[in-house]
Amino acid sequence: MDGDEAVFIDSSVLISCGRRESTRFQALAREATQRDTVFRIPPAVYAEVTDDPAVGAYMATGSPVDAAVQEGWMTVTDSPSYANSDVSAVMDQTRSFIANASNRSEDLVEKADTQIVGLALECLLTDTADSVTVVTNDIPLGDATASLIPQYGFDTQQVTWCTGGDFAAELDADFVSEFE
Amino acid sequence: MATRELNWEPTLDTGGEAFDILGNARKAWIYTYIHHHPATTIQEIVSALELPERTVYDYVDDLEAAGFLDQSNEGRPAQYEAHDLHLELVDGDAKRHITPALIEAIARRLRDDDIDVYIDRHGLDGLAVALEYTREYVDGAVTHQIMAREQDITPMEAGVILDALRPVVDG
Repeated sequence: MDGDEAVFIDSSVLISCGRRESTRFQALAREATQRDTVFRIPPAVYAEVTDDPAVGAYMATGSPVDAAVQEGWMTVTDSPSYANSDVSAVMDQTRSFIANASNRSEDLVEKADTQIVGLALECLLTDTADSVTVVTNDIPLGDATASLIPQYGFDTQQVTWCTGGDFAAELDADFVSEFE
Repeated sequence: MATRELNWEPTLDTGGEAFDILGNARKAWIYTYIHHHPATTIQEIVSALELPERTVYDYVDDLEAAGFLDQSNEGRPAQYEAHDLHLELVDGDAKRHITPALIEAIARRLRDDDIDVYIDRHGLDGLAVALEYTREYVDGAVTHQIMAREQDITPMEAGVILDALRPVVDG
């Protein structure tokens, strides 16, 4: 699968797309089609956006992620291979990185928060993809991705992170136009 | 969506009548609209907010009397400008800043159901705290999961409110 790009979508972006019946999810679906790819979401991300007790309060129709998975343009990956020492190490490093960036204790960052970085590295290590993109609105997570993965022998051009708005402009649109 | 009477949380309830704007999303909307569009007339507000003209006149009078707005011209029709508020409320250990951004966040509940639900669940104090997190969030100094753990809410709810308030901070 040389030359392929693996795109991982983080919970912060899925939440942003799913809140209210917006055009954002459609924009994400369009991006998947245009890139001819299936977006990957880690199991922890899937759990976060579908099992949350607050889903009912904010999303009348439930999480649109399940619909996206059924439609085939999004897939829930396996858990990262914790047995792989590089994968496990990059996740630990990501935890420290986020704690430092936010000036918080590491206790406030869970290893599950870092699955996306572990999975992105694993894709490169196993040659599943030639490059990886992590889409997240959590800046410390994105910075961790771009700064840590190259330490495992990969070129910086093989690792990209961007916000939802950078990925598809519609994801930045303000619902309340009068104040713009 | 009806403008609901607020369930006041303690700190932001101590401001007295001058802070009526915090409990009335339509007044908050008018203040914010004028803040974003200086030299606004009553008619422009009536068109933008789709409120009865009488109500807009009353609200603008209230906001002017409270010192939030001033007429910015001498002729007719009257044009209004909003003052840049920076008030601090201290109640025991709790300190809250009342700023144009907080008033805009309240105003947005009229158009954004997620903010409306969040205020119902966490009160205005919760909203003020979320606004502080949003500033950190856009600066890249916090993740939504960290906010969730520190505020004892779910990560999804943190993500929802950070996304909803982001335009307030970006603007």
